[in-house]
Amino acid sequence: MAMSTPLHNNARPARRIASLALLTTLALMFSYIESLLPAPGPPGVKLGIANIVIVIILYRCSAYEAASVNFLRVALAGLLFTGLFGALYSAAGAFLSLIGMTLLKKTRLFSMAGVSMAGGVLHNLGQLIIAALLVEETSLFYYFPLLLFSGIASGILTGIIATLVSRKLPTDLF
Amino acid sequence: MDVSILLIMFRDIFKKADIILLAVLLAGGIFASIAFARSGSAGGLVSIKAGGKAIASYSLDQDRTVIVSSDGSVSDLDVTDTESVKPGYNTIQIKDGIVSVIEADCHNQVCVNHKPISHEGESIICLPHKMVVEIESGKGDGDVDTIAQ
Ligand SMILES: [Zn+2]
Repeated sequence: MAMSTPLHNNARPARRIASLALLTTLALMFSYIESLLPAPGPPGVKLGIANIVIVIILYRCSAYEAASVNFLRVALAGLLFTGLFGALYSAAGAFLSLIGMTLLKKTRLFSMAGVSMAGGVLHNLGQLIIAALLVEETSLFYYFPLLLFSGIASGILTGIIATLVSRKLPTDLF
Repeated sequence: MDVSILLIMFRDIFKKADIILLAVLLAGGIFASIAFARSGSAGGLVSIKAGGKAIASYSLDQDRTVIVSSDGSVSDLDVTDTESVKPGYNTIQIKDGIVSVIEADCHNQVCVNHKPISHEGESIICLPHKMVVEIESGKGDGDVDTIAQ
């Protein structure tokens, strides 16, 4: 019986990989749909609907798997439609946001929507930092309040959707 | 839908710590906005940088249109020979105290679609060309010597 727990976790690696591949495609589709929509505001202000998928993986699987899916999404989106600069931006945002969300989740104090809100803010902050480094221009931080507020809004919105979707998903998804 | 149902849904999704974090983030954002708004009043100087180096500054009050090339050279637009423009250019317009990038051959056109700027601290960035137009404080403490590069 002592063997049952590790066995159960790794019993269906093929199914797990297939689910993650499916979710990577879904996240990529979300990124694509968003790239087609007109920008809702100044550069950097985005809905970030792909974050719904990432947050769900973070909760259902692990930070490692959420990071893998997110970086695959960013790389594929870069090759297909956002370009090198877009990918570089997104990667910086994704990196900071995943670290922050993982740490906040570990405290067990925050809800999924709260974790997602922090993720939205950190995603924008990561992009702002990489943009400031790329153009060697600190005046970019004037955008900080705007990107902070838009990160809060998009993080809460995607977090609420992730919460509701996650409750409807089967428990044996992975 | 009445308010009590919304409240139940809200409590169902959020935790107390979420609200505290939200309050902290909002306070930080409002504080930063106020701090930036105080530091930036009606600006005076349009500074153009490429690759991190300042290449030109102009008064915000004088209307003009210039072309910045990727090699760092700047030329006035009233030269009608547009074929002499090298690839990797941004055309910057200063008109009635408002600065905008009216044309560029960068692939994403973010700089061209950026809303015009008119206040100190605001900037338009063209990432592909590593080009930054920023409005700086031109009045006051002997900042004038930066005008001719
Ligand atoms: Zn541009």
